[in-house]
Amino acid sequence: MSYQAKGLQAWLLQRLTGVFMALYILYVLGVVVFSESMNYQQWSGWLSHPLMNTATGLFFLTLAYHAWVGMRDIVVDYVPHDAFRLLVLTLISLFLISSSLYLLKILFSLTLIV
Amino acid sequence: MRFSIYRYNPETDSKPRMQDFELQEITPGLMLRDALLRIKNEQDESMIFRHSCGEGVCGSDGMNINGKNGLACITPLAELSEPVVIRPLPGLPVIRDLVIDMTQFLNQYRAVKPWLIVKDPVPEVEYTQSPQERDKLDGLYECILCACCSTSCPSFWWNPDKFRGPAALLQSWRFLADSRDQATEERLEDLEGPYKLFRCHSIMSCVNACPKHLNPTKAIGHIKQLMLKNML
Repeated sequence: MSYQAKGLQAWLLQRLTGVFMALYILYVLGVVVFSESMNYQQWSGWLSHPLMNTATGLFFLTLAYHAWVGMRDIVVDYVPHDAFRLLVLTLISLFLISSSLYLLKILFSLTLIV
Repeated sequence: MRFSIYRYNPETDSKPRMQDFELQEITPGLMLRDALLRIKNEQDESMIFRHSCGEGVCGSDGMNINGKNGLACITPLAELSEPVVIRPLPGLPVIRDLVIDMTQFLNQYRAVKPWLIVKDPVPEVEYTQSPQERDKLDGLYECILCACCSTSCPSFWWNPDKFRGPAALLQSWRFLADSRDQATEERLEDLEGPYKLFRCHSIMSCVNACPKHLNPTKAIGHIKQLMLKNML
């Protein structure tokens, strides 16, 4: 079986990223709910820990990919005309790429502070 | 009993309209098809719809009944709320009144090669199969191609030329699951890409619509699993 895999790969990765995001969100919610009051130092210290920093970066990258597959599905179903479709997909991908890069920049700057 | 029936003749009408009918003396046990035949015979002969066997076997009289796709011949009038709104199956071109053009639906069916593909030399006796292997085809072979499922599927409405649709995918799995078929690889490869199989987002409208109580969503899930297994 050949794998240009626009279908199976996207479908599978959307599920895997979904699992990762669910675990990450549960963990973060757990920490926020169960920690006593958290001040800015503790907060940024927590997020700049290499493991947490990497996980957060990974979270936003998987979020971007997950959103890309989902939005592509919606656009392919509901946006008519190839040219218009291409425009909408381009705008979505630009938004996802730029916001991901911006987030990574913030996360990276956190590691430099502490 | 009151009926509101979709009327459209593309050759003479600029747009579709709903026409009201009323039937007296509804006897118990009467099916919707019987009512439509009475309307046609007693009130308006120009109203047309497809029908044949009258017992849910041929799949000719699929239509949209009070918003849900089903077969008129096995839909009891007693279960319907008034006025009974009857429209053609949604998403495909209307030829006239309740008769739709099934070409796109049947093209997708043809595209999954709904026949056994065997590469070994043809045996001199029948192709044999164990009872357990045969059991795997239950819930798959019963499809009568009435198109109730595919025309209830939004993904099929938007891409009837690219998405195979639940009916064709159920048949695709019917042959993938068949122990005698030897074209698994080719069948799976043909379904790759974002459109043919993966337009399905498992909303299960097809399961809700199927008058034979089959489950195309489950079959589609099996196809995805088999693809995954073949990949790993």
